[in-house]
Amino acid sequence: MTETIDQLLQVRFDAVANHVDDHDWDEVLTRSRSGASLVSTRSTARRPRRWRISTRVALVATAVALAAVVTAVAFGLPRTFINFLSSPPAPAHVKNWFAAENVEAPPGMNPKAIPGRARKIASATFDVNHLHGNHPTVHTLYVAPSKGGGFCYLWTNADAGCLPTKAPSKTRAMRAMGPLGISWFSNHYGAGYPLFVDGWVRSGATKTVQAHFADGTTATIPVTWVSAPVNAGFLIYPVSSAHRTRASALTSVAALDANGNVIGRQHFPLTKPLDQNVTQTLPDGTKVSLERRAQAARARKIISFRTTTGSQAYVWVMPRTGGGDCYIFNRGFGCLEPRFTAQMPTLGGVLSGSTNPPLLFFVQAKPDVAAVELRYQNGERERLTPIDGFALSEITPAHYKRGTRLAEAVALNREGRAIYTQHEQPDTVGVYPCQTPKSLGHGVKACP
Amino acid sequence: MARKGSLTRELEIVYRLRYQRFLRVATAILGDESSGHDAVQDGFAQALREQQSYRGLGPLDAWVWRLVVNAALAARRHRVVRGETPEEAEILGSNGQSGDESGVRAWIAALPERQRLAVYLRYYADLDYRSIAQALDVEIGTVSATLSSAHQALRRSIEEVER
Repeated sequence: MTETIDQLLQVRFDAVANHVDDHDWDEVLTRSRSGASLVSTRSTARRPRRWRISTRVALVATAVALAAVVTAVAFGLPRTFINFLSSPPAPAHVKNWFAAENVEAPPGMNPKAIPGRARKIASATFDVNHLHGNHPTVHTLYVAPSKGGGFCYLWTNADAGCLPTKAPSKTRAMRAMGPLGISWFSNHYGAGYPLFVDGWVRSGATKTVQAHFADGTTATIPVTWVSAPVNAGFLIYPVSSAHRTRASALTSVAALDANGNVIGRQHFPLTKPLDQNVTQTLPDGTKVSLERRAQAARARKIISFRTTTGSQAYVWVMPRTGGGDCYIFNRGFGCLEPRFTAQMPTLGGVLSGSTNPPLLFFVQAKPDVAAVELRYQNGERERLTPIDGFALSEITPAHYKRGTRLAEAVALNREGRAIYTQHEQPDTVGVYPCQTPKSLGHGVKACP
Repeated sequence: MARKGSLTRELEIVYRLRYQRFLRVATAILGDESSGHDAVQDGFAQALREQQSYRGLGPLDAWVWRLVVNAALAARRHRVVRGETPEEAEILGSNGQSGDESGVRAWIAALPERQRLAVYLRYYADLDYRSIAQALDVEIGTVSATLSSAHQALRRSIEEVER
């Protein structure tokens, strides 16, 4: 009987196996060197009573306990140092959010965040919109290390991002940014200058982060530094009302070393008025947000058909002031300058609608493309004829299952010869709709 | 020094090969994966710091198991002292597992501590009786008796549910 119960238990225990692999030997080495019992210090930080105190006080108390340097708080985040391994773990819904980021990332762009190791770093009160008066709310910063040495962060209800583990190909602009990774927000209609910036700066030579304005003034941006394995500082910077004009706008954020030398700078070029987004009206009366350059009154609906869900799929094309075209379809819009058009590949297609069918394949093609052939895994083929360089097709439910999905989009010239092939990744999780999403752990579900 | 370097390497190998098993047991003791991860990390960090105290009398795994289990138990004691520990069965049953899975966890949570640890090491870590004995620092006969008692209690729980 003991053997029977033994086997029965073995089966049942297998069902509760942990499927998350977030092992990190480097962190073990760090802990062994620090010598502290992290579990006990973290337990102190997790005391419910602690979190009833105001966030600012809690942050300062944590910092003092860690014998770290705390300086004056300007606004937003305090300038301080946070021991990542002593910070409280993130709640389940935040871990799930990081897990979802991994799953839902486009092919090849999985940030590989480790959800189980996400921790709460700080909270701050700020107004991410800063549009119509000041309406600050409390936002919390969570950070999860990622496999390979990077990290991802989440400012609740504000912004999120990742330090890629693999160094991307370095453009001149990226080299100039050095240790900085900054996002910036304007308003819905494109004020033309930043109203709010946030981001990270890698630890190392950086001692100070500065805001530089068009009127020649500067300001120091407080940074909250987070220890290994994150090894980065985090910043938020709502631009004050004094710098919300084009003449005094925030033009760059710079990282400075101990000697005051600039070791990285991220520029925020002022958006030209014609490039700002404004609400425009298409000829059929539909209100849309488009660049001011898009001549919406002259738009032509070049594609329109009813999808299997009963909705209408469409593409509008219109001239762009200064040359080129603008377009808008069900799931996006954009403008193509002539110089960008020249740099485009022969064919560019994108699938959209995985969570909200219909699943549409939107194509931009160069003028020498006479037809686009969609080739499916099961051998079926479908031919589209671009109109003014655009094509739109629904990938119907008959092609949702693996083995039947879109495998290639092939550009054909007038002689019917293939001149370019865009290879799809049909087995990527989360691209095609399904009846029953599969659980991927951490509460994340996605269609296989 | 050479031995220390060699042991560090061996610990790293044990860690990389067995991390999931250590995590399962520590998570089972503490009730949530994040705390379980901390306990595993702390256990191995302690092993690195105190590798001189490993005298090579038993398998390295078993020595590390003892450190990880102790780290998890210490963390749980801290919580108890601070009044932070919700009922283990409650934590284990509230993390999105199905009723069957949370039922198994709840039954085990109801066992006496030594039985519970023996069950964790037997079924979560898949250790044999000798290794469990070394990890818990008890005789093999004690492991056998402890698991036998746990089996009887768990069998009663399962039979009640499936009756």
